[in-house]
Amino acid sequence: MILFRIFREVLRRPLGVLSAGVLIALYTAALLADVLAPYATNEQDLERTYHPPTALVWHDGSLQVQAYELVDPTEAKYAAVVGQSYPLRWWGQGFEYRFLGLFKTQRHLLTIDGAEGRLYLLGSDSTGRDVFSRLLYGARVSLFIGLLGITITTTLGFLVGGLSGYFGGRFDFVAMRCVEFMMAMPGLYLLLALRSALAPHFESDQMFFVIVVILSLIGWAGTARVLRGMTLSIRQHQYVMAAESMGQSPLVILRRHVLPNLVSYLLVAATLSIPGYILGEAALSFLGLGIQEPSASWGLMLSQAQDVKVFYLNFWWLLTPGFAIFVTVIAYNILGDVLRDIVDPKMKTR
Amino acid sequence: MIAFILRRLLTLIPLLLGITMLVFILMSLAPGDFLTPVKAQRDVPAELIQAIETEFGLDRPWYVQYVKWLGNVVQGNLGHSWAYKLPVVDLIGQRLWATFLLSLAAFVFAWGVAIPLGVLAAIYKDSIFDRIVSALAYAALSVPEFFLALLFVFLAAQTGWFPLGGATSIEYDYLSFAGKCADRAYHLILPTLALGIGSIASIMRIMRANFLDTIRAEFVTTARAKGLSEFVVMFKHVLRNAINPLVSSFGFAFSGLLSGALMVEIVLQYPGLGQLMYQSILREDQFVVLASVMMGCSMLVFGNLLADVLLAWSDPRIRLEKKK
Amino acid sequence: MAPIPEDALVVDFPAGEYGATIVETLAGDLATVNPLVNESAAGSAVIGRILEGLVTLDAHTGEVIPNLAKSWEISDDNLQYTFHLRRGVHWSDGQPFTADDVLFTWGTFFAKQMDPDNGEPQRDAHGRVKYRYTSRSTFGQLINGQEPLVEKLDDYTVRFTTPEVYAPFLLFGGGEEILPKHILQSSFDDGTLMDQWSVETAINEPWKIVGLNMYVLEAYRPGERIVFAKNPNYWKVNRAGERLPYVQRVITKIVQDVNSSNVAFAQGLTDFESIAPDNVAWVKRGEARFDYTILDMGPSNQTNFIWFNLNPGKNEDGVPYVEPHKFAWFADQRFRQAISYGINREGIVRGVYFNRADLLHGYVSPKRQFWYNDAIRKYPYSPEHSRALFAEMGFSYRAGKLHDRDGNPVSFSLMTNSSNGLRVEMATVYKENMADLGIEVELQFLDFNTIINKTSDSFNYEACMLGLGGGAPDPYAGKDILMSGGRLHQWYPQQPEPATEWEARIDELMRQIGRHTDVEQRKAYFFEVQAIMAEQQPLIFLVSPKDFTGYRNRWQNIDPTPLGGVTWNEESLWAQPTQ
Repeated sequence: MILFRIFREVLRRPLGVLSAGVLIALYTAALLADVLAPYATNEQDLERTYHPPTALVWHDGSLQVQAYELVDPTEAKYAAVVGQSYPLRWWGQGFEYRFLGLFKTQRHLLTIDGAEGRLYLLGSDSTGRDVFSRLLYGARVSLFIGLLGITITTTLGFLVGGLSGYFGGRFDFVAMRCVEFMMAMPGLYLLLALRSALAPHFESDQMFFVIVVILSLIGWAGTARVLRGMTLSIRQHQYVMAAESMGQSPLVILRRHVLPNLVSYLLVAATLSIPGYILGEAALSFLGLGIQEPSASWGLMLSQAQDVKVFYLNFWWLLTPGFAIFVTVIAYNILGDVLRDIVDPKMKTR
Repeated sequence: MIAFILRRLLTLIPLLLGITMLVFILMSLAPGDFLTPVKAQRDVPAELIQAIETEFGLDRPWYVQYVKWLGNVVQGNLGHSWAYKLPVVDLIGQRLWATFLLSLAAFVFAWGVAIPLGVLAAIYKDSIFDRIVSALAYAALSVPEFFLALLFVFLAAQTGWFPLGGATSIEYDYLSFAGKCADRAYHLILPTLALGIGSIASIMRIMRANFLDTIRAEFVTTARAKGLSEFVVMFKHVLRNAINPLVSSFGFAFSGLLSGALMVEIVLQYPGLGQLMYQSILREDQFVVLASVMMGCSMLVFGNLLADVLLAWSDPRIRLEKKK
Repeated sequence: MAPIPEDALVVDFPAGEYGATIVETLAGDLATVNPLVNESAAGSAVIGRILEGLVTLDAHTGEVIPNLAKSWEISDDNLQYTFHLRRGVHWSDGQPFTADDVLFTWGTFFAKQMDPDNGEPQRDAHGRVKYRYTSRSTFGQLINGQEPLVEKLDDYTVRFTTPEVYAPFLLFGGGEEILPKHILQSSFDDGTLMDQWSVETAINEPWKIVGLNMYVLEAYRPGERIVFAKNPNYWKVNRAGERLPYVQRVITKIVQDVNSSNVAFAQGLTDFESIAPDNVAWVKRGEARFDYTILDMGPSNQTNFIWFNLNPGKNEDGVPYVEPHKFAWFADQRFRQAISYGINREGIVRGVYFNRADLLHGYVSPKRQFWYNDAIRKYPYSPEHSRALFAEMGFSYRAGKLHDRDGNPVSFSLMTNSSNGLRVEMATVYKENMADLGIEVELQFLDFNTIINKTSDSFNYEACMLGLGGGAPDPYAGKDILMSGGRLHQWYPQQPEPATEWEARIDELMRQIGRHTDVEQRKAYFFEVQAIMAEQQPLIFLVSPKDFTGYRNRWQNIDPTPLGGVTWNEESLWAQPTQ
């Protein structure tokens, strides 16, 4: 009920609509990556490495994709072949995939007619893979790590914070020292140390989960502290004391009385923490310690943009994952602020 | 005041111990031990390996190792780096200084820009200036630090106005003292900007919020009623009170700086503590990893201490608070 | 400063001005300055500036020419080499250079660990003699397991006697860098020889590193810079009798990797640089603005290759290094050939190297025109051939994935070093090529030292991609790689006995190459070695990047050659002193 009311309030504000809209669009794009991507993540084309984004032209009354040729292989310089283009096709045939894991199909939103042409909306990378497609598939990793991590963190934070706020005493003391301790460590240092300790015990395709776990272990402390404070104040309320005197068990009280009051704060805290996860994963993958080649993740794609020739030969399209991260994070931040204003206008930012 | 500092120092020691123990446990989880990379090298005399094994108790369980390591640390022996063939202490010294310089520069830059911006934004609330600055702050908060650093490298490569990395030029040794300072400063420009911009945003927003809150406080109305000029009211009374809560977040800001510095150092190839730690992790140079993490945490902890001291100095209520 | 030697080498280049400084970058850092210990390329670069050998190679013709030895005779039976040293040459610290130093140097290689009880050399489990100071030179200078005899005939004459005819001895033996006896004798005696000339020495007491080459170490700051100063006692002079080199100082800045190095050059900050093939395009753009020149020096010596772990042994827990069913695949020649057919080398040259590389079909790069056998079996990109070979082996496809005869899915892991960007890209392409064949490859990007550890110590890997650079022009230089007992015989190093027939054949051919002095004969043997390597594919060669060198235009007397590069005559290079 509360969530529904909050959601309606969000829609009342223009910034709320904007940020929520952007996020929904991003997550939908990630889910429907198979449909939206013209090429598979790993489809290489060594004839067209570092290809610039293909221009769209209007030809013969329809939208077409400009054809290019390689004029200088030593520089990866391509020039448009004047007058030659390939028709753009909607809902055409492309590589095979399982739609949402359900049924096999070959239909994609945008494809190109003609086997010699390529549709590179955002250019190609060092081995000729389509950046736009990888951006979409990379969104799956980068966006869902945040959601997964938040679930773990909020649960942990709620349990520790809630319980210590409720019980107080020695449990509270120990828990809060732990929290202070966790917050006293520089996050990234701990992240790297954890990663180098845990990684060798896992396979490379399990890295996704290892990273989520690591990020959650670092992030729960802040949430716990805030929730503890709130639990403390809620505990003073009449109905809670009444429930206690009636003999209800602490866990029941937590679930029935404390939690509902915290939900809105939890929502705000979660929304404002997700960017941290996205940035954490991006940083790890960027350093080569997270998602590895040849999977796609925004951080990993950015690490390839670090090559010097990218800067000097101006392959700017390799930097687009950075902007994708930026848009996602800013959308979350704005949404978080809007939610906070709705839930408690007096709640200060940290 | 001294008593306060001492009390705080006392609470710091268990904190440091706890952190190092945690990292030590983590290191022992990694496969192999401190000596794994050494086996491939032939120039490490067997006596040295033997000596280190006994000094650090590498054949004993991890808690024994920890105690021995701690004992060595207190005596100034942080172990031996296999990648650089130097005692870790020598290695960390120069790197620590470089990172400290960078963090300090970013800190001064961030606060120096953010506080006036925040004050002005508060005073001219809801004006075009306020709106633009707030929007920019939002944007700056959302950009990943390493991406910003990457963009800066891009800029440096295209324009040639800035060095692409490093802390000093090739001719550094042959410059005069003033020349050396200028050279270091020149190399610090991009890293400081990359690191500081994110901080500016968050500090500015808090400053603005605090300032607005303080303006509404009663003592301000009193001051105005007393006939003090607006300028004095704003900058002598409001500002002083508005800054206090900000100082308490000093420690947290410092933590963010340290983490951010790591990424910036790596992208801009600035030879600091963060970059050292990253490379040591890649090379499995365990002693160095352990020492860097410990140094990083120590810097953070002492940063917090400094913040607390500053806060206590400016706000007597905290000094006099009884220990719970 | 010692007087100019009576036998000083007169270099034939126009005279120049003194006092300039060379500024350059080095990717990688020093681990040691002791040539007996050093294993890294960075270390060789530094040591090579300080020490010299008796002979060297002519940068134009590739022939062996005098260096510290002014002349030599080879006996008719090709067993005795008598070198006449230059008279009047002094070490950088002023002490005279004599035959004693040559004897001392060779003495360090072959000094044996003596049993204190009976005065006999100690032996290891295989009955081989134990050496006190094992170095690359110790094993490198053994001729078929035996030591050459080194004798001093007089203060300026040294005679080497090889146990059997050994064609490359003039180059390998004569090229050995000479160590100063007066500096290192005491540590040789008390056993601390390997600890000498360490990084600590370089930092704190660089003057202890004494050599005969044109530079001495002046200062070293780890991770930052290495500074060399001119050797005041260098033994080469110009036509006017003035002592060389003209260069006063060399400042070497230590950088992360090749890219940083290239960037520094492209901004006009350094004097000489080797440009990576994918960077040539943009570095060339700065030629006019920053006043430097980029030269295309043709094919290089660098190679890139993949190999499978063929070590049949077990680790200390009794677990085989390679799982038996995988070992069966790797050991089958057809499997390796099929993999080779499945690699799109042409695409790699075009897409990854921007057309600035050569396809590598075999062990020898096209740079070595004389020794290059073009008639070997080649593997142009054709997945159909691969599939045919797999079918021949009884492999089959299920749901697009390749399975062997016992139904095991074909998959393996490939490791390579993360620090080489182009190699990472090649590995990515390789993975896709294999995926097209239905084989799953797991890529592991590791630190270089970790890789070396695995390939020569723990053998805990399945496949690896690495490369080699440099290498002397004589085919026998590859013996450590090609011969089954060699340390660098990557797929199964240091075999006690050749594991396969073809490896035995290669061993025999290499021995013949060593024994014969007739060049055409050696060439015929070496061609056969290359043919066998190509047929068997123990090393699956990929591409060889082309060689591009840049230098700043202010330098005079530049005489670039494919064999010597731009700095072969560094003693004659000069520029207007700036600062």
